[in-house]
Amino acid sequence: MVSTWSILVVAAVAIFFLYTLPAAILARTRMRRYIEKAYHYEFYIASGTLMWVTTAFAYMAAYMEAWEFVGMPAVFVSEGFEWWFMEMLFYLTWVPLWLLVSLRIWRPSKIHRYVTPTDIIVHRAGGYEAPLRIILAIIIFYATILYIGMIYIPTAGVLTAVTGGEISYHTFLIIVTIMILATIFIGGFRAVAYTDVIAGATFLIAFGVMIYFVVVHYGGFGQLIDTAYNTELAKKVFTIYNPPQYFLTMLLIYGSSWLFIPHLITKIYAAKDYKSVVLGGLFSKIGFLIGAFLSPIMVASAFLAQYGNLPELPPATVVEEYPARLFFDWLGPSILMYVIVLGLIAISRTTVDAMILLGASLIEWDILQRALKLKISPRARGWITRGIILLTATLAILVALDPEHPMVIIGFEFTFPAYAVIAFPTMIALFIDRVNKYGLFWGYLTGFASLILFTYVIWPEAPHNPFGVWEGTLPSAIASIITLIVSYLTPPPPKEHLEEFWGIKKELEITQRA
Amino acid sequence: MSEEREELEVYLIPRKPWRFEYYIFIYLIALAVMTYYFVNEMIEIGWNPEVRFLGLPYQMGIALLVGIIWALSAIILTPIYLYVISKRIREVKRNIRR
Repeated sequence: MVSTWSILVVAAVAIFFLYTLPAAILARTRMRRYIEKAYHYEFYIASGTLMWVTTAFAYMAAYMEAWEFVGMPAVFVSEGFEWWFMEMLFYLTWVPLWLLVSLRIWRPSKIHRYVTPTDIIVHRAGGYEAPLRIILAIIIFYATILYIGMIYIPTAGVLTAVTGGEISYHTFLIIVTIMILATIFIGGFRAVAYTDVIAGATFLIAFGVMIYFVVVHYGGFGQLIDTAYNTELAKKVFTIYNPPQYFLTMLLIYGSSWLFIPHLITKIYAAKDYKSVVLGGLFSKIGFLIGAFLSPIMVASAFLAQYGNLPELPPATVVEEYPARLFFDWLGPSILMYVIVLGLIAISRTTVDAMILLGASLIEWDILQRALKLKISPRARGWITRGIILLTATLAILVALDPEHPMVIIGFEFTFPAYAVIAFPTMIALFIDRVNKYGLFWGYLTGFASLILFTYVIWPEAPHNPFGVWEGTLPSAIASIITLIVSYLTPPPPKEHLEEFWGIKKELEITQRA
Repeated sequence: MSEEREELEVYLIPRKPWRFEYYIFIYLIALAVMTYYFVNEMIEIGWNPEVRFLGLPYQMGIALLVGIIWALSAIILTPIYLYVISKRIREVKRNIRR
């Protein structure tokens, strides 16, 4: 017999979908204005027309997912303070470098109307288009599928925990995916971005409820931290086991690599003007501060304070259940708990939908349209897009169905270093004109080859190197060094190519008129 | 008119970094030194409720410091970027009108 509360939790997914539906319908109405002119640019990038309020929530959605909401506090308690602290260090580098890099990605994207992250890379390279598109699309697609699976796991796990296991993990996995796909099919990226605003407001309210409740329960921030710190479990939680160089490379290498994280790049393309990039960036950072810093530190501390003196932690299928369990123990089946459930659904949806679109665009745009140059009729193209989106979502579900599979576990370790291998040569090429197609091609190739060798063959144990540095450090360093060496040993890229890439001719026209 | 203005803004984002952007790298070096120092301290101190930083147990105090630096860097840098880009665009527009 399923309880009323469990039915209400399932209904929360439908309620969330219904109150974001007007935004999706509005997106569909506006989409009609642009879709005939440039189908892919509209469906995957919203024709680069998003204002700063929308971009703020879209950027926030790119980094905040169920992991921040329930994963980070859980890791804080189960793996130790240091793993959460490293995630915070990454933002220290990302925040100041964001505008430096994002504006230089935004400029060519507006001039040339890019659809995928691969577009900017192959355009800047100026050659080897088909092999580069295929290699990069496959690597990004693989990493993205694993990433979506990673987000599905805590989402479905926590919703199951909130129902006390009455509704199964698999049921929630399917329900949440159907809701996400419905939004995507209604209005593509534009619907995703518009509903991000409502979803963002929902999860910020949920974070607020959690923070407020924790502070009130313990009588203040200081008291909460002190209570948490003086528990038995805290002795283990606050001991640092990783060497300083691991923290240092998380700060400098992992942090910088997130400036070119593929599902963020498409959101930079979608910004209407520079103010949308700059102000959207600022407000999304405020959101991160609440969602990725304040909320995890307080929820983790509350969990420690509540359960830290028990002989052992309460049993859980996935550690991400802990924060939900904490609030359920305090609040029971209540309105406040329901707000937290809605927040969880909102935050899970926001990242997954954009990533499903990214995955589909890599297959449809990069591989079918650009690399293989398939001619697809306008009539067939809508069905092909939907089919690929469905395939992407299904593959991610397969990852989430068996999170303990060795291929999935080792794949997680591969995802973020793979993003770093793509990010560094690309960012170098954006700032150093001497980088050419040979350098980029061999840079990516050696980067991926070394990543596969280090991860699966030479050092199969984490951190996949003997120096105690972050997993992506060596492969991305190799990719960057090879990019530079090969570029300087071979002829520079033609001046005309760089001028065309950056739109220099037009820039000169404008400045001369002035 | 609006499209023309938008186009102008796109081409006036400099492709090379502004001079002030190079200072960000000095800030990153300072961050790296700070991280190395504080992580070593955290390793040495371990769990110890007596050692405090910013009024909190040491590790939590350092985490708070990270949060403060993170917020300040966003709040300081955004107006600088907005000012520098807007100034450039305003000047060019004014000259074109003349």
